[in-house]
Amino acid sequence: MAEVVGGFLMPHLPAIPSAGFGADPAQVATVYKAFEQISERIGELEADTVIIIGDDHYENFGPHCIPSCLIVTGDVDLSAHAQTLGMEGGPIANNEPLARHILETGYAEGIDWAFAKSLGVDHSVGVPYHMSVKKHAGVRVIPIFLNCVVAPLIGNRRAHEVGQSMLRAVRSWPENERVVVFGTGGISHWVGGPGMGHVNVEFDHRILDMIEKGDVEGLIELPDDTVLAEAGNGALELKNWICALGMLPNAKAETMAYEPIPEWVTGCGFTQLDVAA
Amino acid sequence: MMSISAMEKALWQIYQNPADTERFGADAQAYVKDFNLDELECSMLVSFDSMAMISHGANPLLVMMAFQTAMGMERFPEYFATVNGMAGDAPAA
Repeated sequence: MAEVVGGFLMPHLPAIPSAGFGADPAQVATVYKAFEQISERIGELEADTVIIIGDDHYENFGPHCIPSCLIVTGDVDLSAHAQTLGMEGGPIANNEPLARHILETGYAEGIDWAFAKSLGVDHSVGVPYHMSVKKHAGVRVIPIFLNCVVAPLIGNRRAHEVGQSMLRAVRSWPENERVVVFGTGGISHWVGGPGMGHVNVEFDHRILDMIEKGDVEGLIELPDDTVLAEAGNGALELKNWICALGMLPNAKAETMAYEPIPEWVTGCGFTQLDVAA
Repeated sequence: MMSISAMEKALWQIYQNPADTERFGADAQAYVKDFNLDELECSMLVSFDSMAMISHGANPLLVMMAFQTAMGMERFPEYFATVNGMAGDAPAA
């Protein structure tokens, strides 16, 4: 019987693999240590599969087709752009049977999944994979993409429902799988427009505190306009976190690290989500 | 007539299709004629007026990525300064 054994919330910045752009080495070290801790926990949890929830940055999904939520059910590789960021391309093992089961479970429950039989994933999945999963031979990855980038976006409530549906799918999968969930992105950052480079430390701590207190409903109720005004368009990636939290009800959340890194234009927050024994 | 969708299509193709990046770089005036854009929008794209396009409603992330692709990362400090109305260094995006 499959089960979700743990989860993590983390940034997915394209600058992370190269540690470039003049970021303070002490801050970079904190970020790298957090990813290393996540990697170690994946080993301790004896994970078989990691579900990585990210958002395509107007890269694979252009004006011709913008899915609200998409699951990759087949071949996974890094996108051409992701391979320019200090990450090596090549096949990434997908848990195809479980991905297909998540898709079909969602269909039966009214989740309007799009799916990809083959995808070169962008940095939102590629960076967390590269930093924390890649070294674990045999651990497979299921990439999930929510539309947090091109308006109209997926709603917070729907993102949470997608996570809840994925949890039910995992729990109904008859194989023995130990699944870890990554919610990636955020926290505050303004990408490409006015305000770029600013980090709202107060907002970021407020979000991390809400997660530690288990206030998922409060996160869901945060209007997009409020997030946009206080924390920038990049903070809308909190939808990925909300989706992950949907897979981890009643998890004990603990902030692992937080660094506001202006050179990376982002407040980088990490949370560990422990499943009650 | 304004068309944000057509503008984003033109920007996305600059970002994602090397042949279109090259075409835009070689002759931006000719490139924009392939899209359903009005005169003002054509002008914004040809001059790559980032703030004008963002103010017009184009997705800021897409404008930035198209700029990086068309102009090169070495000119990113210029983009950063423009959108912030100031001189600045080039952080990651």
